[in-house]
Amino acid sequence: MNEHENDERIERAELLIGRELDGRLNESEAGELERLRAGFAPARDLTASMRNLRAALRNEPDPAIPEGLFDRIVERVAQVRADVRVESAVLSLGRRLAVAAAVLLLAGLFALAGGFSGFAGPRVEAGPSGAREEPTVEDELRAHPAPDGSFVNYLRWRFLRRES
Amino acid sequence: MPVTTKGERDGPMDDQSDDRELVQQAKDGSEEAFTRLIERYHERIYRIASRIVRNPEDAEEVTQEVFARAVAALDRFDFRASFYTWLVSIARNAAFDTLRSLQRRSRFKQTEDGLDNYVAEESVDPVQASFDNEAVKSVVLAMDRLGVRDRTLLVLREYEDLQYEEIARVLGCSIGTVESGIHRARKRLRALLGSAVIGG
Repeated sequence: MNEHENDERIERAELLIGRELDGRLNESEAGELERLRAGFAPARDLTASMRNLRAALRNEPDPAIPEGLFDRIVERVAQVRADVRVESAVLSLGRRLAVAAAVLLLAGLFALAGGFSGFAGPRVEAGPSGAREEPTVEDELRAHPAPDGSFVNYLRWRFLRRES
Repeated sequence: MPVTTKGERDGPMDDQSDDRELVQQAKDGSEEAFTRLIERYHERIYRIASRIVRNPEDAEEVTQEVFARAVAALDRFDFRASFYTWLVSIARNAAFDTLRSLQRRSRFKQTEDGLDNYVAEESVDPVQASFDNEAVKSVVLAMDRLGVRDRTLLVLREYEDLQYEEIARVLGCSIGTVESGIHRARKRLRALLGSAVIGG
């Protein structure tokens, strides 16, 4: 076996041993690894080395938890909650103001553009003495009596008056 | 830094169903429920942070930051991953942010590949002084010298015993990337240790 082939077998053995350590070896790979171990000494050495490495890693004591860590986390979280509440209140107020401003702006633009006939405001009925009120026939008769006082003559008189 | 005796680690999935209820209560506004989640996970998150950033003060800052980010983003947690996996992914991001900040403060030296290969200039964790086991001591020192990405993969796999699927979720990559990354990280760690320590 040349050096290149040897390196390839070591590389393959390393991959399979890693899978074995992590419980991810399938049946055919398990057979392949066993054959490698049986006939290839570096694969056996590698198995021992990787198992030792895992044992050393897993035997490392856990770092000590700093005293008061839990309380400090709770305090920090409470601060974040308070900040989030303030932010959310500001955002909510901002959103409401923005909506109100947009409605007012639209209303203004609409009014400027003419809008609906009734948009400018409620219609104000003129009172009985309103100057713009269309005079009734009775008003006209009272104000401008026709020469003979009859209604037919009045209409004729009114027509001629408008024509003139 | 003093050390504690390592007890049995809880499996990451053990508390999952109970977590779901607590998380839902916390999402509904229960501060007590979130406090219980902090109580449940802060030590595990601290351990992960400590093993990535290799410094107790920075590890505490990362741990606080993890829960601060979690409470702010809780509405976006959608139960697709376990709550613990979600916290670990926040921890990984917070730890990397801290290391970037340390990089700017020159406590870490840069190698050619950027943050992935940032290594501690010296062991900032005096934990090895208390070890009787030389192999474990050597592993701690070698972990200091390992790049951040390699170290993170080994922390999640070897110390936290996360499965490839969970690690992929934490790191936002494929399972294949996780497998090749762990393979590479082990190889580098073995190279740093040399055969005298672990044989082979």
